[in-house]
Amino acid sequence: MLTEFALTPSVFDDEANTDPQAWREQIRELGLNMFPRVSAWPVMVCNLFEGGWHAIAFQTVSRIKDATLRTMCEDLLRRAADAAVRRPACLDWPTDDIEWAHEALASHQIEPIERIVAADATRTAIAAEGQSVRSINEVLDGGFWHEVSAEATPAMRIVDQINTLHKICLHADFLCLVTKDIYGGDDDETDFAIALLRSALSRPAGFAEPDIEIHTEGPRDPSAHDYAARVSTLAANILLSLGSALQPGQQVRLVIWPKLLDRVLVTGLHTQDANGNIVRSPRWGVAMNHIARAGDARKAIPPTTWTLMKKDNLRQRFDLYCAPGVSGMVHSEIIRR
Amino acid sequence: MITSISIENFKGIRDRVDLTFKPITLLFGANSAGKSTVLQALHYAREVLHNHNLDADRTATGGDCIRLGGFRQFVHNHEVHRPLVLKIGFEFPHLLSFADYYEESENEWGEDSMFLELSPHSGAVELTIRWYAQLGQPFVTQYCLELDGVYAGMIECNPERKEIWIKELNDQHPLFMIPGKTDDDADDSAAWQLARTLPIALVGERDGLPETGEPLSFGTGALDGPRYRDEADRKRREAVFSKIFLAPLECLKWHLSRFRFVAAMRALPPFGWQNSEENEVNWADGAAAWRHLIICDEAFLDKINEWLAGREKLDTGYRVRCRKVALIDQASPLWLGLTSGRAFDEVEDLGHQLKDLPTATSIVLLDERRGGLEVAPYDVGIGVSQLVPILVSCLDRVAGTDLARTVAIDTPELHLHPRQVAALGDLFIDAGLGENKHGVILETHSEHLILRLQRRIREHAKGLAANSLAITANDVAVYHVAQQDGQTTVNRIDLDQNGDFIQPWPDDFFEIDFYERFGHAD
Repeated sequence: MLTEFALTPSVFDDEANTDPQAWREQIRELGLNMFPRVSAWPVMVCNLFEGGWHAIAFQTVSRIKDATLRTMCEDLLRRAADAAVRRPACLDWPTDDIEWAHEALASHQIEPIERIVAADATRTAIAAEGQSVRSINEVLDGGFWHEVSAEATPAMRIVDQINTLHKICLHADFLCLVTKDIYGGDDDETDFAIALLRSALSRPAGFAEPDIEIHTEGPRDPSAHDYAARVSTLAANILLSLGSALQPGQQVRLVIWPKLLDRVLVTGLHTQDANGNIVRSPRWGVAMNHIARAGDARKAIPPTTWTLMKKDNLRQRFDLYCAPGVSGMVHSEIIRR
Repeated sequence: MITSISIENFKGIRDRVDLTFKPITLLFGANSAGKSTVLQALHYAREVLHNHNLDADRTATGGDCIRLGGFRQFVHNHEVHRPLVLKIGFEFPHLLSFADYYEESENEWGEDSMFLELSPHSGAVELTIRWYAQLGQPFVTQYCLELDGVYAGMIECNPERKEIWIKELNDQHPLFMIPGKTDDDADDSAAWQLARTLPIALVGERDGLPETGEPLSFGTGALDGPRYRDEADRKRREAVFSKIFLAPLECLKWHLSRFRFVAAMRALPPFGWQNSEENEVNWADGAAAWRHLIICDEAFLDKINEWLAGREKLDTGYRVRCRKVALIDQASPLWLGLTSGRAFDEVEDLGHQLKDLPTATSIVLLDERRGGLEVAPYDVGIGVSQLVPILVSCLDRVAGTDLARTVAIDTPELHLHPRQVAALGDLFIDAGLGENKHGVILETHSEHLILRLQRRIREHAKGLAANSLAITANDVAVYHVAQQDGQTTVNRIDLDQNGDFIQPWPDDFFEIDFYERFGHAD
């Protein structure tokens, strides 16, 4: 669903790419497939070495002599900035492209990077170290883009579905799971929520811990006299279940709405507003047709379809559930271990 | 400054939209999405407040560039049963203190004297306007007032029954609390005493929007009489309610009187144009800007030229200059004397006669790349001439921040080279955050403009920006206006401290050039 790319600076180096015509086609292919117009962008771009990669890549681009190629590479990098995820530094500061490839490989050892791309010379130089680094020449092959898609069809098994979300669990600064079927029982989507919590809260060293919210629907009939009591009971049940997934010091926010129609995961990164306050910036959203329950693994249920949300849809869902000052929920509580 | 606007049931807008204005506010969106509606609501508000023109077609600030078409045309979907709601927030300027209005009462004010001291920092006036088919015209049926962000009171009107009432006063408003008194004392406060006399009928008003200038006048009918101790008591209360309800209207009217709009279609001065008299001029089509250059002082002209020709600014290669000419009647002896060459010998007091000739002034441009060659505005690229109304509107000198105005510009990037569009970003920073402190509202499609603002925010955050270009994300409001399900929606897109967008833009907005550049020929 989301494929992580690492592009070493040589991808943007005109001395490393000596056939301008071929290079232009390769850059074009990267741009069109990584940032398609018709769907959400199915990629994350590694900002290697604590974000140091992006500045180096821009410097490399600024040295391109061909104006058209320079503009294309600048465009590509600007899009890459909007899809960038920061990776912690693994080795010493890279001083050449081979060292950038080594940095990417070291990061890949900690958490897989599906596509590490370098200029052909770099690829050849480190060929003995394995096949994980791909040459930019390969981007013109159809096979290179296999499974780079904004759509996924995970099986109706919790483990498969959590794997589908693994990239988001690894990189998002905040995750809001919205589904009406979390009651704290063992025949609903609570197990999926627990698995999501465990995945997102067990990141390798160097990856910051995220804020997580679980949004679910409250009991029926909000006008009933015992509604508040039933909401409290529901919250207590969920608290008991989700609490078991938390390590000491970890927390998750539970939000209960009177009515929910969506089954989505809305996620993103933190940034700072003009006053230095941490604010949420929506980045990835997943519309999930079905969410697996514990018992589904034993049934012959066909795979479901999940889709990365386009920006309009993501913004709408973010404003509805995760933006500051949202109102209308009937219960909100921080769950801690 | 006008600080916010909320709009409901106006043109494409059905459900309420709220916009907060910052020193620089940008409205983006596709054609016909409804960007202009926001500015048209300001034109309409000015017509309503200044001329009580609820059925407005042509507006004073829109000139010939904007036609609203009347209430039945601009109410959403032409559904006249819908109430049109406009709420405008504003700051009380220091020069026009709240205390300046309606205090000439000769009565003893007693505890009510606290109302003389009211000094709110901000206000918001919300007007509900409805069409009355029986009466064949729209009326303001409700006027709600907020002071310092808290509801303060309401006037209501039923046009069919010809009833206008001060309906509510929020006696719990913090401004109406006497300092030192506790909440327990609230039920005998001056505001409470006033509030318990409500509703009070008003006379002499057309509808729920009272006329400013004269104090409110209470009815003297049987229903109203017993509410006052005596005539002096009634007069005093009239003065108090006038201060509360009319002073904010005066202030908003003042702000709207200073609202300046520059339309997208900016005309050039006509061929041979010379300004020799006080013409009826219009800012919307740009004509007033050219005239302003004639009557302005040298310092202002220098500032215009600094922006027009400065290397780090718009760098158009042109400067403007006032060219004054003397007008001589060709039938006059002076003309005949001059053309025959006899004047120097025969005309007495030639110097004085020449000085006394009527004059006319025109604006010319000096082409710096051709040694200062004098050319007319229509001799240069259209983009240069389009800049003049923008420059004049933004740089118009005002003394201190109190005289700042709201300047709205439709498509400032029109006919300009991208480099100059980006430089316009710096101009708007100067206008909004420099000495003028104008509120600049821009209706635009330009990515170059927002990129320059983002760059300046980023540079300022890193301590790299010049003082004159210091800007933070708090100084900019960006809105995306769109059509959704048959109505106009407005979404705010915030900037973070480095000038990057916090929320995503709608799909492929600002990415057209990317896809054009990367698209295959096939």
